[in-house]
Amino acid sequence: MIKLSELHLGILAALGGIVLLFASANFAPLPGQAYGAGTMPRLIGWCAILLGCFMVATSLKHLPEMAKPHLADWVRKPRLAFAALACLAVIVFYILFAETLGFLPTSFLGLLALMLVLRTKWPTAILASLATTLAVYYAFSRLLMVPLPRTEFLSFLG
Amino acid sequence: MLIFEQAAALVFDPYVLGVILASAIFGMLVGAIPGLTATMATALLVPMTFFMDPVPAIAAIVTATAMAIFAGDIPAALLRMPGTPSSAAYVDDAYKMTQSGRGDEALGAALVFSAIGGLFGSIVLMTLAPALAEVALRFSSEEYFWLVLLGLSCAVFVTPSSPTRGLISLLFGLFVATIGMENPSGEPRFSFGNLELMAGIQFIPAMIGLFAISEILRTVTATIPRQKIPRSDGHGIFKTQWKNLKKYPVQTVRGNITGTALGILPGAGADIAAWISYAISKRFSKTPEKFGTGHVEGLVEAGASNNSAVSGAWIPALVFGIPGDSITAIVIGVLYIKGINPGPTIFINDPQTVYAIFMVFILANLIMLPLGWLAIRGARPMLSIPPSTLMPMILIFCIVGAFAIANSTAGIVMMLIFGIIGFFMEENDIPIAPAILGMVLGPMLEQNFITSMIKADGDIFRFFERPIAGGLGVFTILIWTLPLVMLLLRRRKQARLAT
Repeated sequence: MIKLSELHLGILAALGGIVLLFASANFAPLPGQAYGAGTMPRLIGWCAILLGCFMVATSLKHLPEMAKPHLADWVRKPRLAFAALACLAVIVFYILFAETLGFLPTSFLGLLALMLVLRTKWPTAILASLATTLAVYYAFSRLLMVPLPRTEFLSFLG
Repeated sequence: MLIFEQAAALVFDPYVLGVILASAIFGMLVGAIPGLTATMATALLVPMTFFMDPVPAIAAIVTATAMAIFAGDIPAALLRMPGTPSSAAYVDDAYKMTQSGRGDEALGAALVFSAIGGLFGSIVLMTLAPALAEVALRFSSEEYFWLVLLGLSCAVFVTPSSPTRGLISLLFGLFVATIGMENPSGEPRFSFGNLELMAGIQFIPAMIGLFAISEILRTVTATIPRQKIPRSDGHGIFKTQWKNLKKYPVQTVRGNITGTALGILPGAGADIAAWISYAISKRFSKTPEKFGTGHVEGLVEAGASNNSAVSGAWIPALVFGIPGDSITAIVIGVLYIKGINPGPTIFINDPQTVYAIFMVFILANLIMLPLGWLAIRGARPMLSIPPSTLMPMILIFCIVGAFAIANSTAGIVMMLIFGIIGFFMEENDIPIAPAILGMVLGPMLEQNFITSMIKADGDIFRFFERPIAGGLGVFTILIWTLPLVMLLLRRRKQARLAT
């Protein structure tokens, strides 16, 4: 992950503001009024442009060092970068497979995989994944009546 | 007197007391899970209240809400993940206190001053309800506009990083709030034809993403081995609070009054009350530089404030049928289902129910002390679980929490996107809390701004014509201009000294 300086953030804010102004240019005002759906986004856009200009102006004094983006320390360490990606992958895995597999296997597999990536020992990982999955399932599905995706072959668990 | 006896008989019934106890535990659990809010606790309770009489139904909601608001402080202090948005204002102080071995003091302060705030708000609710609600009822869009802007300004200036980064975060939050069709002309904005986006960004999945997912990512990418959090200094949860109460009596009273007053105002609620109180505390503190570094002062004032706001929000709800916040909006629905019409006539037609509700407030805030103590004790083992095991467990809670809002995977997708944005923000020292406040208050700001502009025919000076609006407006402008004036004066002084 790139660490941005005040200069970069200022440029980003100003650019974001400009995009917002363009994107909200066609929002219609309320009938017979000068204000409507576009007023607020345009105000935010102008504020972002002003803020961006202010940030750029104040960081010009330290230009050489401000211009250089820095990489976060963890990006250079494959294990940590992999851990971050694994967290995101577990969420994506749940989104893609929970409806098909059901909550119980998806949650258990996702938890187990992530714990192992994060270097939890096998027995602890299996026990913790199983206990968490069952606790979450019963708390949300049975007590709070949240319709978590069901697994037909595990329907005996309730 | 007879009415009080009838009300007491309604409350001190074994079934009602059982409901209060069960909903207190439920509120504690929901509040302590990062991302699950007091509003969610209330919403989840509603189906269960269908099977209850009016008093236990309302008792369940009152108790669960009060507990959830306090319990939100537990993950805030232990994991830097506020359980509810109202804990976000002082999350850094609470977490840093835990890291420096003062976790018991932080959580004790949150517990004791929450209970004090809740009791104060309840007493105001009981005694001053009609008169105070009348003042809030006179507020027009101009007052609301300035009040919201005041809350947002506080969010920018209380941020521990630079105000410019706080402002970036706030503008991002305000932009997110514009997505969807909920705007003065009902036109879809930035939704790209997507039905989910047309309904607007779901707040709770976004909050889980910004706070919890980003924190999980930060933890798993930490290059420095996670600092072992020291055991508490053994001063106990309650022992240090007498000292805090003696040291910060003004802050306690001010937090109670601010919270109750803001709770009464429709829409303001516990979240904005906590932020404003934290900002006031920092502004008038003798040691403002300590805020955000593990200082208990802001926690005392904001902790008292958010719980007193919960009670305050019931004043306009009961007296005029106008919800003070999202929770009382749900409650009003429950009261109607039960055949009770909130409004001035409730005091004439059903006084025993009203006084029973007052008693429930007192009970809920008293029961909070022992149950809160148990919850804090029970939550502490969380610290001993290694992050490699704990983080995946929290991740699955977050996924299910985001799903439960609308029983749809769209909530999980939103959580994922906001998690990545939150991580990027954290990595670049952009505070997350102003974005959250922008998202919550953005629609209210827009609605009141547009309404006021139409009423004033574009004349911005009309925003200052009404006395309270004028006062709030001047105060808000001072918050923005004073730091600039001070900076200019300081620079001029430095230049004079240099020459």
